[in-house]
Amino acid sequence: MVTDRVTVALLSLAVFLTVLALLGAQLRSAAAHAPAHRVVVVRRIYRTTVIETVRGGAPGGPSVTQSVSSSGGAVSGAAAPATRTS
Amino acid sequence: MSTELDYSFAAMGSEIRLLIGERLVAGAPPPLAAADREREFVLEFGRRLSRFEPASDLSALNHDPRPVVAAPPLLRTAVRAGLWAAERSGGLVDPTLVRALEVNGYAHSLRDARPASLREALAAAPVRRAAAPNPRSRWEDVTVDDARGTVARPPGVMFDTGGTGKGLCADAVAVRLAAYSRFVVDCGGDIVVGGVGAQLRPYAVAIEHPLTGRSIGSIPVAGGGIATSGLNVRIWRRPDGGFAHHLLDPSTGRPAWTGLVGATALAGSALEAETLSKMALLLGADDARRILAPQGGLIVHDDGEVEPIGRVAAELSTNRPTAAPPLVLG
Repeated sequence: MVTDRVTVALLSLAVFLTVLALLGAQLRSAAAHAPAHRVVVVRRIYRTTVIETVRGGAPGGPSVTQSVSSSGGAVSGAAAPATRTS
Repeated sequence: MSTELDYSFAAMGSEIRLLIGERLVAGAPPPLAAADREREFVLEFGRRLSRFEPASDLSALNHDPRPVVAAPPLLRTAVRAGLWAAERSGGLVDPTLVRALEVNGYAHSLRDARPASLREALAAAPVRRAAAPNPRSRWEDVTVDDARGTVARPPGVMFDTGGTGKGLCADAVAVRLAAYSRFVVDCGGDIVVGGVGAQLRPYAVAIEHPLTGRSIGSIPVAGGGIATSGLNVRIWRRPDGGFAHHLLDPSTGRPAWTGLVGATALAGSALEAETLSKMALLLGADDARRILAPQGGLIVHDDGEVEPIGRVAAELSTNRPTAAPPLVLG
């Protein structure tokens, strides 16, 4: 009984390894016939600027805008400050 | 991730704008709370130093008949700033021209008044000539005593902080915003830029043309002050049909027509920039070039011609003003 079980297990393993070897051979064959590819890595850096008006509009009250930039740099959403005759 | 608050409000007869970056110090209030705090400061600054407000500290000083008057710290600082500007300009930016301003028609705030046409005023203006200090002016007789908390001046001599007040106010707010990564304080066009973030990535500051109201261009400002003096905003028609504006020739007590309609100056502070821009405009083109060359500036001639001077000549971008390109580290 014990010998039969060992035989079955060995046979199963042999079948599995044979199938694996066949698949590996097919894969090597396909790779050998495929054209060489250049690998291009595209890096896209997305910058998000959110300009949110928090409050304002009341007579005499302040106008407030909050700008948030995901770039880590300075926020460019706001209009440039301007020097002028006062 | 970076954030910047853009906060504006009306005060001192002008629009005030604050751009405030992120806080660098944990104990500092959030930018919005800081902006609210600075708004209160600026509003009080304007209330207490306006010569048009009868209840202001400045009005109390100007109408007090005694030679020595008790003055709170803010008023003493403003008087000192006016005297500093007078000394810096050799008396050209004279803070004691209140009566001459009133005689010329500037006895009340022009905040809501529509300016007269500068082009018409230029056509009617007398022969252009440089302004000069008044050797009989009394600004040198004004003294500030911080130990006693007083200002002394000959009775009847009235003081105007209008010429230097906005620059001083911008500088004061800038000191209070030192805990933020970058900031701009714009008091009606008198601007201070500060913060380490601004040094790494300067702000592009636009310069407005006094005749067209359009942007001349922009220059990168990493720190310090920039201010513009011009004839286009506080200009009015007198009852006799002539034109007047608020930049007086101290030697005559009359509006100065020097061949320039605007001058912009860069300097270490807004107060200095304001003083230099006024000096440049009052002296005319030849001396303006000399005065503005060390730190940079720009003048606009009567015919609208723009003349950049010093570093502004090299750095003025006439494209549509945008933020400077990002700084790439490493």
